[in-house]
Amino acid sequence: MTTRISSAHLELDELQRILDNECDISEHTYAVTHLRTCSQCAAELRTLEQQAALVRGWLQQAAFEDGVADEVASPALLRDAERGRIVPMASRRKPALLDQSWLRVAAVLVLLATPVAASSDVRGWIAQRLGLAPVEPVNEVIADPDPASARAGGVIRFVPAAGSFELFIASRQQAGTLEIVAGEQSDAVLQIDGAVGAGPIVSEHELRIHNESTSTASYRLRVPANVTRVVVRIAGEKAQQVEGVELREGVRLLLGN
Amino acid sequence: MSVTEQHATELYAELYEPLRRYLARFTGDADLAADIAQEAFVRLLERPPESAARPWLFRVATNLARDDRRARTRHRLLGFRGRAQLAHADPPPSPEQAVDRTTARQLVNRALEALSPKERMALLMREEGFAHREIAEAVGTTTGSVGTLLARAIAKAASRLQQPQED
Repeated sequence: MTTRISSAHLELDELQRILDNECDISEHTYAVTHLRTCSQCAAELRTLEQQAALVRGWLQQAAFEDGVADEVASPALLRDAERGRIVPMASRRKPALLDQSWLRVAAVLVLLATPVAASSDVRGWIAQRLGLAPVEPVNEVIADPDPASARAGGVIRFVPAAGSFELFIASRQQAGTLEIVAGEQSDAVLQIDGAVGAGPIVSEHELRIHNESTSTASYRLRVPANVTRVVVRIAGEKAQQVEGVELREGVRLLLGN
Repeated sequence: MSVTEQHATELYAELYEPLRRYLARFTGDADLAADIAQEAFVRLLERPPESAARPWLFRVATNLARDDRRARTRHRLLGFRGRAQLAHADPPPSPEQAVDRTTARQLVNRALEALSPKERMALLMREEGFAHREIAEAVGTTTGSVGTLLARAIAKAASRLQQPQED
């Protein structure tokens, strides 16, 4: 293992990995130490964070996924298309993608619609595509956490997306546990006990806990019954999945080294 | 790793909405995004990938979106109107909301246009919570280079979004 000199500035890719909780433990330790004393790198990280937030905000405001009343062609894709190969006549008549899609989807749905394989989500999908059910609402955050109270310990309530939910934890910390359990409630609750050096950020489909390696906070996350899987990502480690019986009965993960 | 029906069902529950949203942003067309997302899942079952399914699904869907857009552009050039606008179940937005949304879509499209295909794909996959390793697999690069790819993509997009609108 090589030791870095603490005055060496963080590279662009390292800053991005910090922002995305993608650092391994040694990289994270170095970054935390360096950022405490290097205002230049701290400023670059802030800029990167602000830029990412700006882009995310615009993407959410554009709400492409909500459907369109007016078609806004993507110039980038049009440009890609102009560079593309000549499309055969059969495809010109109608896009090949749309020609056979329904037949093939129907065939696959026969497979999926068996009692063993078909979940309510897939049935909902079928019903939705047949126009029998409304489009499922996207996730909604009921209340943003109050960073001040969260840092002193507190409770955050929010509605995670149905199906799978992701929880990101910035780093391994000194001590503490994470308990996850599914319940009958309609929203999710994150309770933070004894949080020092930790704070949550709730976004549309995920929950991020920005903890410091010195934190000893413990977290209790209760998710609604419609969440069938929680994926836990701790920086530098392989993602863990909590699902099925484990999720219904509850699981406790150690966050301390 | 083969994709069993049960696994496909789980993947569907986990990934359909993120994939549809990603494609809607990528193509600017929510209906097309839904069609392509379905098609990608059909292909997942018909031809299960050897590699990890999550990045594979996004890569295949991105390729389908590009192919479909090419075909649709040719239709326009040949005088077809293209796909008719489908009726939408949601209530229509108010005029003010429609203007805001249209403006936002135009701005975002211009920002995404400034990116290379790889940058665009990486940025939009990041928005869906993908790890760098998965983005690397989908984009066809190394995990180590994803940080730089993303940082540049975000900076470029943010720069375009902050520029005044040009007509």
